[in-house]
Amino acid sequence: MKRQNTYERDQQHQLLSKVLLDTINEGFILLDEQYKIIDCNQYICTLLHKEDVHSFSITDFLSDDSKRIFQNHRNDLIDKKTIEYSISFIDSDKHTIPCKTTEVLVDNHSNINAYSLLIIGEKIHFQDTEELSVKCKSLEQTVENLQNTLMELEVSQDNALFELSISQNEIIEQRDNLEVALNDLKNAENKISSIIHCMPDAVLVVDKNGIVVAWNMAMEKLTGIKAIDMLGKGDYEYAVPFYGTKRKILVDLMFEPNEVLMNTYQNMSHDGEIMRGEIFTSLLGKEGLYLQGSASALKDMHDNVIGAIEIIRDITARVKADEKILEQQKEMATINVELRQTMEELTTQRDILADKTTMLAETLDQLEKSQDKLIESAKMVALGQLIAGVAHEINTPLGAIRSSVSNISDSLENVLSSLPNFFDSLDNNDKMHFNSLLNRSIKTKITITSKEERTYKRSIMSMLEDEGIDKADDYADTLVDMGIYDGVEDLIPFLKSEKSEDVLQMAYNVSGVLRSSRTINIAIERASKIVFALKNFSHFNQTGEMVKANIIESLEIVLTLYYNQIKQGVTLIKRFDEGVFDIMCFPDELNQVWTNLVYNALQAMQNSGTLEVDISKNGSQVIVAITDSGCGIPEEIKEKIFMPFFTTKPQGEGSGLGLDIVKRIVEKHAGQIQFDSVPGRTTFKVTLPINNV
Amino acid sequence: MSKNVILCVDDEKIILNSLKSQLKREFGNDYSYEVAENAIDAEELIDELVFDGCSILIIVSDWLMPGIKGDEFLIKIHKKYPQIVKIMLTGHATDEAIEKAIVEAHLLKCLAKPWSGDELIQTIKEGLNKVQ
Repeated sequence: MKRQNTYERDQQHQLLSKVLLDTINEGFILLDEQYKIIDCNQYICTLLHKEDVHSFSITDFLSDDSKRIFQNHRNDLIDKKTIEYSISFIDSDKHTIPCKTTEVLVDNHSNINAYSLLIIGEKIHFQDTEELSVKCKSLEQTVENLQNTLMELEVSQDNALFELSISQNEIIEQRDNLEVALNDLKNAENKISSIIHCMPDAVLVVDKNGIVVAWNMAMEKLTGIKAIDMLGKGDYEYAVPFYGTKRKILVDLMFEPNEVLMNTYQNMSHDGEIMRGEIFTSLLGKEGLYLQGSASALKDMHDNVIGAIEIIRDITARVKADEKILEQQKEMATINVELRQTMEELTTQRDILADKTTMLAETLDQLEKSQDKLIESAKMVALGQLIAGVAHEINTPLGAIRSSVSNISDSLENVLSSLPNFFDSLDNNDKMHFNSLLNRSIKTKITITSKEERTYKRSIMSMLEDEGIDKADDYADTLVDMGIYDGVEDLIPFLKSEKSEDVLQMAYNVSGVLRSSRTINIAIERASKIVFALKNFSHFNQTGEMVKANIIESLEIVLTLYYNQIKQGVTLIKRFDEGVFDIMCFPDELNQVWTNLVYNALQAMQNSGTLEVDISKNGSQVIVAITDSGCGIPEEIKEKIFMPFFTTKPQGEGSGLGLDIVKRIVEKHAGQIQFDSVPGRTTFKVTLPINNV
Repeated sequence: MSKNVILCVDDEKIILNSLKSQLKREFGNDYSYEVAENAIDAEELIDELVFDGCSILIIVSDWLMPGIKGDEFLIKIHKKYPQIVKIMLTGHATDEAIEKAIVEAHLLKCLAKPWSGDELIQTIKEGLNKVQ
């Protein structure tokens, strides 16, 4: 039984060795110290066109030159352990096959009698006549060698037969067999280990139970784990260096399919029996490594899986390069998209800018046009401020006229019907008093205030009461109404007379007609003045050219419009220099200047104080100064008062455009406006050129 | 002897003269006719007349006057002398001012300048009926 097992194991491992070596796409030849071929893979058999090369000397397959090269490298090999050279093999058809070859000194050669491993790389193709002659020689040599080998084999066979025949003892025979089997086994294992050990790629081999049977030098280097610590271990221990945990890896797919496991690999591919997949592990290398695994099942002659091999290659550099290219492509794509967007944005912005430029140009044009309109509309605002006053100003004289007309007609009706009889009833003395009263009344002009009238009335009344005159109150009132304030003491005898009441009443009635007429005259004068001022004020200069106008008249118009506000509480002082003040100007616009300045002055004084208007000449300039006794302009707003929309008035009351417009108009006349303000005295001074009338 | 007074307040002398003539012609010496050219003078005069024992029956006031406007003046007087009949006679007044005077000064009527003599006399008579 024991022998059976050993044999099987031996066979199994030989198979494993074969499959393994055949999986690799390079030639492997294991040599002993005498250059005898201990083992080789299928690649070599194919290369040399020979089914079995075992126990041949490597020199049997080399050209003469290559034999020398091979022998000359012995010392080098001992020194360097690994050497490279090119040698030419001669195949069974006598063809010369030049190959790059790596020879590695086998460390543990004492155990298996293996001295070195030849790794045969790519063929070098060249043909010439010399090569052909070399091939012929090699062929002859090979034939000779074959004959020698045949002889040796015969000798060996004889020896073996002899040895067998002389072995009588079964136990010894068994023991010997066992020893041979064990030795073979050991040899086989060692051969595999040696080959695998020297392979440049990292190699892992497991048997069908998942026990690690190979963990080569390159693998040691890759994982940092020594073969001695890994060999013989199972339970997926081999996964730990790559995944940090015990798990199934690519090599386990050789035993049973596993979709989930397969999906953990990138770029999975099948190449015949070989399965390839890629993973990234952060556990190896400085920043992790990309690894490509190539796994292949190892099968026995009955196609049973007896193990599996995985060759692991570090593909980090390639992946990194690929990634970098991908990244660059992505970046380029992004940059491309961004560029296109930027282009689009730029196009849009250019369009918007073009639109804006057009709009701005239009706005500028409109602004230029509307500046004139603004001045016009500011004029309308000023007019609007005046409207209340203007309505009052016109309705007041109209009211006075209407009332006076009715008084006149009533008076005349009364007087005309009673006058003849009245005169008949008067004596000469009465007639004289009547005429005197009438004359005094007619000569008096309405110049005193109601308050003054009241004072007169009181003094007259008390005088008449002192004289014991009845109706002193009525008499005093009538006299004052008639404009007879003084010299009343002369009238006392008359007033005491019988007819006095009738005479006084008739004189009052008759003179009333005259007073009413005078009132009408005053009213008409007032109304015409206002209409005239309004006409001038609202005058639109259609020509756009300066015309000759009198500055004094211009100011008087405005003062007339503000008469209603000025007459009570404000003392108006006008100081106009002698001479003619005609200048070339836009009169309606200058009216706006005076309106604004007078309006502001009255506002500053709250309609109570002194308003001074000075007009003077200074060379070729006219200077208009408007001074109020108001509160003055606070220091902090002095710089702002000419700014458009600046106003100290509550929202809705002032446009804040008044002084801005004033400044524009003055500048339009090539003039200047200045101001000087302390509490109680604020002067706005406008200087205008006369402009050669 | 003290009389019943009709007071006219207007900043225009020509209006006051015309008004007084008109009233005097209508009512003769039954009443005393007083005039004032602004609200402040008018208030002083009213206090003075009341002090002298006069009865002020009616005030006819303009609205647009320098300083205190008609509605404010009448409201102020109404607080002191609610029995006086108040009439407004004006060439221009805002609707708000008239509304305010009606509510807060019990304004009898607002007459517009130029006024009709008949309307004025009718209004004054209406007012006199109220207080007499």
